[in-house]
Amino acid sequence: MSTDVENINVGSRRAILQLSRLDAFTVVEVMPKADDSCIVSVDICDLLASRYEAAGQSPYGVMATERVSFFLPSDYPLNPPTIRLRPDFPAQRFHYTFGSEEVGPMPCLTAEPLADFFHSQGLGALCGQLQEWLRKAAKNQLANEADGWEPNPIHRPHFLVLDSGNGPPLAPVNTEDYPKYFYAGIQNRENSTLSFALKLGDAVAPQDLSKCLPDNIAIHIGANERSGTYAGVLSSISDMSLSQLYLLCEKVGASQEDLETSIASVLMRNVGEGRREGTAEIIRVPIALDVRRPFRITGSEVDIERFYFCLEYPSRHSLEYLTSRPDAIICAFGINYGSSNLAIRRRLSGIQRERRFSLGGAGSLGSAVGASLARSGWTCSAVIDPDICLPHNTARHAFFWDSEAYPPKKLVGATCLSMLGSAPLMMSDVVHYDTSDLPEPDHFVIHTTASPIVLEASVDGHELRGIYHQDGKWY
Amino acid sequence: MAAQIHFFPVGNGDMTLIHTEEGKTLLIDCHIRKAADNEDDDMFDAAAELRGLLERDDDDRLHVDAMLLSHPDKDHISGLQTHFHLGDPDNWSEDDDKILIDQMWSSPIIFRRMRNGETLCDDAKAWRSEVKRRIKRYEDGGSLESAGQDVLILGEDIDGKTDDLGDIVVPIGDTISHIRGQDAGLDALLIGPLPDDEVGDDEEEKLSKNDSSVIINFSIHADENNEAAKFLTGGDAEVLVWEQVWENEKSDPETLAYDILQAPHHCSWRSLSHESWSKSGGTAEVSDAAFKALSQARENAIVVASSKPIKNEDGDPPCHGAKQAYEGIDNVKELVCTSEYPLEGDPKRLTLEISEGGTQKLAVKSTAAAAAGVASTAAKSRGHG
Repeated sequence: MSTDVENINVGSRRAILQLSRLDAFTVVEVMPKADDSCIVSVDICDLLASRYEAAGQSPYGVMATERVSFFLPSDYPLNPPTIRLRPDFPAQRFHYTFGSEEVGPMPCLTAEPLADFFHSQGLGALCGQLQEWLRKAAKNQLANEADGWEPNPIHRPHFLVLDSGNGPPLAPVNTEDYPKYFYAGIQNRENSTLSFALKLGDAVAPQDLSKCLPDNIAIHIGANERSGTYAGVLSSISDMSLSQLYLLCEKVGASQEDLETSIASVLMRNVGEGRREGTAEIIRVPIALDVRRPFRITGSEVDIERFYFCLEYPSRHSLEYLTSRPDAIICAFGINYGSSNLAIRRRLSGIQRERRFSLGGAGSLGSAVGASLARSGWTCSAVIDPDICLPHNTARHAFFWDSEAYPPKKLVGATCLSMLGSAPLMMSDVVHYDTSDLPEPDHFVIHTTASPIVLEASVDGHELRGIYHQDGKWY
Repeated sequence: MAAQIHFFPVGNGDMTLIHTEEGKTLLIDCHIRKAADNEDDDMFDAAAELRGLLERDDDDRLHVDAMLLSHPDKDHISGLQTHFHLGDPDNWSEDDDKILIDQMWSSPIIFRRMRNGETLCDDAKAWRSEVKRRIKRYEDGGSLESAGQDVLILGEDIDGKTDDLGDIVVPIGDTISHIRGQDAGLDALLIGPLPDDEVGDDEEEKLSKNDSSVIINFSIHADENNEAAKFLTGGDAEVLVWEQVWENEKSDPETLAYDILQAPHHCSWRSLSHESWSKSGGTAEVSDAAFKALSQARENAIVVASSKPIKNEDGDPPCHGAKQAYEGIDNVKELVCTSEYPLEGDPKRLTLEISEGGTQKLAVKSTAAAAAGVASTAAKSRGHG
């Protein structure tokens, strides 16, 4: 072990001693930094089952002995260590946050915030989580259907989250101004050849956005002048608030509508109490995501599912700030919670390996949501976004590194691909389908954009156009 | 869930639970000592641990799908009457809440062979009575399909005693793959007890309970691999038996291949050698044939000594010399003594998880280890983020 322990602060020294005493852990190097932090390199063994160990590594690329870096901050143990794997650690679909060529990826070790776990359980337990994470990674078992560990809770309330800097979309839906022939045309498809396309609707004015929303409530997350207020509002709604609501509804046997109303009231009650953007560093945003199958196109029932997420969302949009703090970009990666209560989360959780999604919008929300779903095992079929990353947007994007002016759909698509392997993925401004693609009961189109997804259809050679809407009609 | 094998630290005694990928549970022996039932005693509470691993059936009865008695010695059957329901399952009491044994795996040979002076403990007698009750019920035309009534007879007895028992008799050399008509998630190859004419010429040895132990090599299924792990267990079978087993199987040693070996007779030297370890001063020779029978290890195999801590002393079992012999087997990664895992003085259940990649110890946290700051794992794993 290469150490210069004398120059390291007491907290870190204690951590190094503790690491060196752990079963299967060997401290191989300690690198003190000028700022009183240090990096401790540790070899962890006893990770593989017997046959994999005999082969030296598992089929999923985990070695018999893995070298892991513990970044102990200068104020350790007030703040937890940052744990990184080797930079070439095989990409995992689950419980994994990407690194770069120089900096290794981070395993997602705890369901709760790392600091909470660390302060309640200690370094030994954190190392136990790490060892178990590596063991599961070696067997490709990080997603555990039986335990419901994948943290995408599934429930059925009624919210739609749009990434938008535009005004409150709570105006009544005006159905009269929009053509109805698209719906009629689809209905007549039985003897017709139908093809259709999904694309972001650039022809719809922002003020008409409400026409595309469910009529309950919409939450805006965005970067314009008003978005700070909204972000602040959302940050004041804690994860616990949601879990308390779940518990409450479960206890009193409340209906789904009661639950939705309760959450809506919490959200709306806090509207006036938000902070301006810039006062909070990272906002943990509880959201409910509305995903729906494009069934209506085939005339079957509209089928909507809702997902509660908690995204760690950076409110800053200063490119300069982010480039000086690369960790902030990592923090922008979506981390999901449905509840801080593990039992509730398990009940709500599910692994959706067979499910596919097409992402309408690859911006700040779409990038986080897309990555979250991909990590949950969803197959990403298409990323629809005609835009490019602009400087004022990049700070909010989960995958922006140095890709200004780079199409965000490619950033999101590449990330999904890295998690999903060779799954076919379209990255386009518009995605074409024909009737042979439908119905696909496990294919969802997810709106993560201010612009509505526009359907363009062709039936018997006649061009039709419509806007997706939830109330059983197409407009 | 993944297939697992749990070894309970019960001193010099066996108590092993196989939990298959198909959700079936097979308990091999039990050794629940009275002290462990005493809340004020800090002895490992094997009964509580076992109950925590079992599920309730449709009638809300805690149950094991099957239970095997390797041989009727006290250190393999203690606690049966206290913790398991015996008799008609209709008489199962919610107040007692005992564990129901859906199907019993028992050999008549293990009760017939006893040296002069050997006696049966009360729990062994209770086991035998319950087996007889189930056989009688079967002979009377009763259905074995209901839980708590079923029995498998391991090995054919002499003089045609088992000839009329038809389907419930499993001849030596046969494989059990189902429990009560359902896929067990394992294949249990019955290797012993050896028939009388194979045990040897020594009449006294023929009558030994130990040498009548049931010997099974389990192939545990996992991840669509029907031989994900092989687990060889043979109760307290001693050297004479293992020599004969090798004689029987040497043309196909794969029959004896294992990823996990339960060191026979609590890691006794007597399973490896005809000579006494203590009397020889540590120079006793290992029987070549017995050693071969017990050394067909696959890569990184684990040997489990279900015994007291193994000291470098004259005692046997467990025997330090036997431990060294097992550790010297090619492909054996380690020998784990249940009373020393993870730390002597604070033993925990040893759980081996079985996957397509082979076997792997599940990490546990020892209270004492935590106090010493040397354990790496949380007491209970938590979800990842």
